[in-house]
Amino acid sequence: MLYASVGRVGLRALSGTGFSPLSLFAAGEKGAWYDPSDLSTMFQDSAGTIPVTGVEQPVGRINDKSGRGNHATQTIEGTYPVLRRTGSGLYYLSFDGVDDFLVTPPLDLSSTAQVSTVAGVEKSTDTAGVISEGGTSINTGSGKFSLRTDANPDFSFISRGSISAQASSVATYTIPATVVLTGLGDIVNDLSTLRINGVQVSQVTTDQGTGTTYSGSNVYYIGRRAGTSVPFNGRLYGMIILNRSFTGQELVNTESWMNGNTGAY
Amino acid sequence: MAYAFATLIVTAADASLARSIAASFGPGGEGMWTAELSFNGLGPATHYISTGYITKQFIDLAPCTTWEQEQNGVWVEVDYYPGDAESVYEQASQAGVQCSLSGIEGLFLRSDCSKQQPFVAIERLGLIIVNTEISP
Repeated sequence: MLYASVGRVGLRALSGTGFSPLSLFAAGEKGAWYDPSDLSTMFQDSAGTIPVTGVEQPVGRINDKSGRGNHATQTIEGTYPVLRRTGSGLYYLSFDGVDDFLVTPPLDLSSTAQVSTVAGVEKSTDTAGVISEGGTSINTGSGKFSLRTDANPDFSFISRGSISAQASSVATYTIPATVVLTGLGDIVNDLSTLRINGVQVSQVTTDQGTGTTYSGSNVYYIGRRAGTSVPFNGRLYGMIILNRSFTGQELVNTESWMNGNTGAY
Repeated sequence: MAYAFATLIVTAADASLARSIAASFGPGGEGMWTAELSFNGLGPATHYISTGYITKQFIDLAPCTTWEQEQNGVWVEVDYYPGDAESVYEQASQAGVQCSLSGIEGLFLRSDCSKQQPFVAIERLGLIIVNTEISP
């Protein structure tokens, strides 16, 4: 399925409709929603006792705004991402490309065979980096996905039943590259789709192997594979993970909302 | 809790001791120095790095070198704080870490600790992050 691009004009129109990503979870859907523009959701410590009150502070916890309680945390000294803000006032988590990462609790994505994820990202260097990835590696285990940067191609979304299916960007992006990435996975129908800035750029139908739903037990690492390798060097303006497909309008609304956080297009 | 920014690079041979000492300061110290460095970007690691915001109480005990870069690109050490090896030894030994004061002093001397941004410190030392192949 190919969806139309929606730019800033669309965003302004949608702001009048009051779309919130929270509506994606209204029927009890599983997933998570992280929003660095909402300072009230962030803390300097993983326990959530020291609020983040401004930029240049470490973020040891960002609360999940989906209502599912999947707060992403960090406990290891030196590995906290840092809250920063662009000149135009957009907040983001800065990952240093060395050792920064956050980790979610096990995300129960076992309700359906589909997963959707949208992230506002700046890729700061032309290197491989894990933006979000389930479990210890996308190369092992089952029922998971990975969203990442690479040297070439620049961005990829990988959906995995028991076999990985990688949808990658084709165009070359000048560094720093600010984009809204959307990954759409379906392990039963063998679809792995990558959209960038509201436009589908790749869809593969590689056999994803066995499995009828995504896993209910994978933690998701944000910023580093398993918290030990493939560090992401860049900015995260927001992230949504939803355990079902978007409707066409939801996709448009969610990408536009994320672009409002990111200023990518 | 106050945090301060630091970049702490230790040799691979010292990494185990550094990790044990850090862990003795609390659970936040567990898991430091997992990012690998080497001179050619390939394994095995010759050094490990931890960088970012770290509890100030911990940082204040570690050594710290201040660097300035001359116009010809050469880095010059302009200040050096040796750290507080005695206090670290006291904390670590009370927590059951098998170590000696001289061992900690040696670790401090061989480490490269500064407030430089990580990639500046890494480049100054001629090191490269070891990044595993990402496949698929």
